[in-house]
Amino acid sequence: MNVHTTSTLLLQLGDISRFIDPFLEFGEDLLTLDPFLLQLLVLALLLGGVYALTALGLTMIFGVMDIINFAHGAFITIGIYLVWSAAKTLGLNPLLFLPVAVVFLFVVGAGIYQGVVGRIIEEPQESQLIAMFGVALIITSAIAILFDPNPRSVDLDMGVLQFGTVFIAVDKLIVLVLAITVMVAIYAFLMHTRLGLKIRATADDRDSARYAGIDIKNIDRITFGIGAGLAGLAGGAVALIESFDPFTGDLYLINAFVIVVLGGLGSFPGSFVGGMLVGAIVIFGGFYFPGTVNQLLVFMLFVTVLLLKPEGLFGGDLS
Amino acid sequence: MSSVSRKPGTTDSYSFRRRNFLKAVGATGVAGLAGCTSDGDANGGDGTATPTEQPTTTPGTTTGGGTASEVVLGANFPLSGNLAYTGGLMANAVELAAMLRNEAGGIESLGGAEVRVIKGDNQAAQELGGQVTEELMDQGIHTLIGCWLSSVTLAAAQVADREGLPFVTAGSAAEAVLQDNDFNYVYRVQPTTFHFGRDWARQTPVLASQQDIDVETVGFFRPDDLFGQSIIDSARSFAEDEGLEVVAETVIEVDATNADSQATRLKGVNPDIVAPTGFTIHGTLLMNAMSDIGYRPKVISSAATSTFGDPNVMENDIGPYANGVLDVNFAINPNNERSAEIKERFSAEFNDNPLVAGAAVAFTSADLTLTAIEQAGSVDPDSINDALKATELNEHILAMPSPIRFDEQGENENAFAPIHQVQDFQPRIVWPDEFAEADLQSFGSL
Repeated sequence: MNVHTTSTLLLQLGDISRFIDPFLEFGEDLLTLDPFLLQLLVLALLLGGVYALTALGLTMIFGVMDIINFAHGAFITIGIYLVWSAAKTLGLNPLLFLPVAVVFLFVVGAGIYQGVVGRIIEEPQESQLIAMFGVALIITSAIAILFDPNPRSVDLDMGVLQFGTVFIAVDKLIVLVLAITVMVAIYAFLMHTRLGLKIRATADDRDSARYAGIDIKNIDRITFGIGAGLAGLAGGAVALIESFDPFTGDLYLINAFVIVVLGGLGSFPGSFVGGMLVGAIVIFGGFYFPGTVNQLLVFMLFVTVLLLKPEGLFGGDLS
Repeated sequence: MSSVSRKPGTTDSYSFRRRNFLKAVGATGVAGLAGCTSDGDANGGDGTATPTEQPTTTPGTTTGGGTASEVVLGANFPLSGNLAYTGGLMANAVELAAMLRNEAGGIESLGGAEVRVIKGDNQAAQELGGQVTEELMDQGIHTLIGCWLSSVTLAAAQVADREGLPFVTAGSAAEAVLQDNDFNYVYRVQPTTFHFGRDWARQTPVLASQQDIDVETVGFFRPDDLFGQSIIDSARSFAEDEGLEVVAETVIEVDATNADSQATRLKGVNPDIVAPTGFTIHGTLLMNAMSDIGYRPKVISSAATSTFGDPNVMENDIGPYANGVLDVNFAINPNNERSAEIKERFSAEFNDNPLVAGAAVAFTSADLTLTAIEQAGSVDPDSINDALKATELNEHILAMPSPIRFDEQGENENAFAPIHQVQDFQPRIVWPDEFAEADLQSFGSL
């Protein structure tokens, strides 16, 4: 073995070691019950709550309508700016405007369905993608023109709770509670209301639902509105926890897509669990791995789940 | 629990839907990289020239000296995306330089030719740095100013130099932009990562000792890009020379929305100094994350993080936790009357936005460019380029020695970065005495 081969081998072993060492460090911390693990776990849950909330609306729309809503990030941004500007103008707590964001985005979503989505729902999916991308560009540009790209933040300091060595930001805790509450509420709505039954029937078999007398167009309109409303709620929540600009919603979009596929298309528990998983990888991966490998880990998990369970964690069986 | 699902065997089968959804995920990633440029003024303010009939002048061609109907500056900055705030301020600063020159009679050696600015949006994307430069050239610019991010500036510089377009950079600090290339048409006014790293490493322990704080260890925080890597490489090198032990280096994505992991890692290692670098969003994320986990190191000493030069961001997005932070960065000279006038005029013209240090550098780059054009008496690119090599700008608003004068590599021979401290949300220069405007105060608390 010559010097070149040896050095190449050693270099490769060194590269492999850089990937294995973080797992060994994590294992060691786990065995010794390092107190920082608890802090990381809390941070992962809090971040997971944010991610789950941003994915719920996306899975709703796709689950019922087969529409890949590229404007989801833009809807989140509308929610952000609505909560911020209302709170600033009226001088009230921004939490009060979260329901307003839901209602407003519901109306916006229903309007966009009427004007755009309803006309392209039977078109090829490529056309749908382009149309929704166009909607996203228009919304984001309009917000950038109306509010300019200056970073903003809501004037709300909710403080930090301390439990021993663990710190929990109150605003992020609220977002986690919100994500759980919304998921339970959506479940109750879908399972225990007449409208929820119609939505599930439409998602299950559009043709049969139509034959059963369900107004599919109306169901689609309502569903798209609900999905947009959920995005608005997510946006309002994001406004509570970080500074933002007209492009903040788009930063959550790619992770939202990953979470929806990871959890199973159209599955709310799947989106919640997917959000938690991605949150955990971002936090633990960012702590243990060098550089920005945590993003790579997210996609590695994504690919692994697709290989082992292609329908997603909570998705239905493949036909 | 509930989910919405499809009946197996229907025309739109689950696998078909999943496959198309996956295509969408890929398309989203590509869409995130794709860009289109605009000349839009995304940061308020008026006076943005939207060209209607384009001049046919292209760089590299001789247009003849003595007279020209107008002088056109290209401003290549991020005007959209999460770096649009500072990018917009920098583009507006170029516009302000043009406005002031016009108010003073235009370019006298060109018969009073008016100065006009065309803005291009590079979206902080490296792949757009060169493309936007070419598009601005197609619109007839005579010189270029930009692009803030080092990676984008490098891409733009390669195009500009190849095409023979004089390019005075603004905001890019990575030494590699000029040092590793043999450019003939590219210049830099501001200090580089060498200056930042050197003065950060030498002065932080000195300033800490003035507050009776001993420092031996340092933990770095940087974005995952050329600028972040360059700054920290320089800081690390000088830190070792000064006997500081580097015990952590945490990295964050350029478009990150969360710095919790990095803050927790730093808390775990607990260095005496936490040294962040990056753009406005990165410093904000780190400060808020450290505050959220109840962590405050002995000293937070930043190496050129734009967060700590913006009072609005510090007061509204971080809060009192920002006070006491040190930052080595280019700055506006506080002891210069003209600085105060320019700051006031900028805020008046552009929606009360502050003239942050990066914008001041862009202003100075534009001012120097116009001075060179005045001296050249021509819009011929080579004449302008020769004038830039010979120009000395004595009257400027930056906290660095005069004159601004370029060496053979295009670097400012007198480039320098003072150290300032955040006091009541305002960045105040505390070193060196020549530019100091305040005494050093305590390094802050939780």
